[in-house]
Amino acid sequence: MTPALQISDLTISLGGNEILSGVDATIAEGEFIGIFGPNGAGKTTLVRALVGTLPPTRGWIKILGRSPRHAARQIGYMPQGHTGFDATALSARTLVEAACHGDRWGIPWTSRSSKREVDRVLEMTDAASYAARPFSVLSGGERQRVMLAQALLGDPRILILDEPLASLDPKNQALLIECVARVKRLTRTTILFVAHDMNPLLRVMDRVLYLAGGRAALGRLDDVVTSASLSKLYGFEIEVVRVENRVFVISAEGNVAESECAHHDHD
Amino acid sequence: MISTLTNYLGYEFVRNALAAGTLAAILGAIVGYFVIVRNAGFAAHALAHIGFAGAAGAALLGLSTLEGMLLLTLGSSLVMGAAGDKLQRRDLAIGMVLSMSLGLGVLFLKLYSTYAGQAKSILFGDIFGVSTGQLEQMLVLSLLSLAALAVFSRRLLFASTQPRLAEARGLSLPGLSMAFMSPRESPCVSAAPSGGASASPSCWASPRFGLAFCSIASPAIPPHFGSPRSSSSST
Repeated sequence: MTPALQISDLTISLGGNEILSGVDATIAEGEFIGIFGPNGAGKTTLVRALVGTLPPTRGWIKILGRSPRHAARQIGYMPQGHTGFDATALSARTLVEAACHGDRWGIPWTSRSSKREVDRVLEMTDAASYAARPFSVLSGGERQRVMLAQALLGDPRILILDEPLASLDPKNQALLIECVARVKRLTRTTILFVAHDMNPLLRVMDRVLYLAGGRAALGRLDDVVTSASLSKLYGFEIEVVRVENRVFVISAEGNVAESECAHHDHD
Repeated sequence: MISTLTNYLGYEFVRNALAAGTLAAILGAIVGYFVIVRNAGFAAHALAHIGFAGAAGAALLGLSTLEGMLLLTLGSSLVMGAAGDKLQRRDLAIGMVLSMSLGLGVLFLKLYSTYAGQAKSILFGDIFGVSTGQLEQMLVLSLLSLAALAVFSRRLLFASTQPRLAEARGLSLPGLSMAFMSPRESPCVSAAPSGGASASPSCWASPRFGLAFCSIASPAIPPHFGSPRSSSSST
């Protein structure tokens, strides 16, 4: 069977800085992968390469055996943040409709089959009840479920979610994760879930892709998120502490490299 | 009351004004929707003033003022579109181009004529001075713009609301931005018709006129345009 995702020697330089250097990974279909790493580790850079908007400097990516550009229709993508929507009075549903076959020519007419498709994805993420309201008045959790719905348009075989938990409170984080887990149960989609903190995902993910210092480690949580493996990746001493089924990544100096607090900034 | 109206409609210039206003309103409403969704109100405003410089420059050179207006606004809209979507940087650039073109327009007018009424008619225009020939030009421009929009408005809406998603689907953001700017300049231009070169220099409907329509019409568009409640009537 073709793997859902193959990355070989992926190297990406931006403005002379090597953000990712020689990343290798193979991910099977139907896996739930959590992608973690400190700020600036290249998580979003990796995502942009996966969806084909950032060409690799070296190496290659194959999604379902094809280049990201050619596999675009198989990819459901939820970008990080959503700038520029606060001012629009467009309803959440209209935004999803605009994305449905948005790459076609012609006027933005929503056909009956597209309407059914939009209904389907909105119901899948429990967003149908408020989709008629303007996007700008929705809460953070509601917005993310709309964005998730839109990533599900066209039944993609891979879902790439870039920091969907950012700036959500723990209750809404749990709701969204439950939503993603349900989508996975229903559709058997491969899921790449980028997050700052791994704790909310411990129960749902199959494997971990940990990025640090431009390199990546892929494997089961117990193999990758260990003091020895992360120290090697970061290039300095890292301690992994487990407290009551929670994981904390701490640098040897005592600074928390990653904790369950999601109070980070994002661009 | 009715007879007064029919009396008015007996005059060709009234009929022309009515038709010109209607055309500008229709085009302004449709283009204005995208102006608002793309958050490009300031650029739309600037284009009309750039058109003013173009028209004044063309008059100075003895060319058709409409052509001058079209050329300069088309050129600058392409440049604006290509400059990309970084909103803050764009606003700064638009502000500079806007003041420069106003200055150029005034300079051209000063060189062209010492007649002060000239400036007023180019800046503020006169909808009752629209000739039948200009009306035809307006009609052609409006139809061209609407046809262009009809071809790519679906992509445009997608790229305007979800730029990163659209990019991942292989749409060119600068390309669409430029493509949109071109039909957008035409409401400004077509609402500011000028007749056979400088032969009838006082018959400009104002660039502001087109803009006023853009900005008045846009908020009137239902915010849920395309959603089930309104889609049966509006799409």
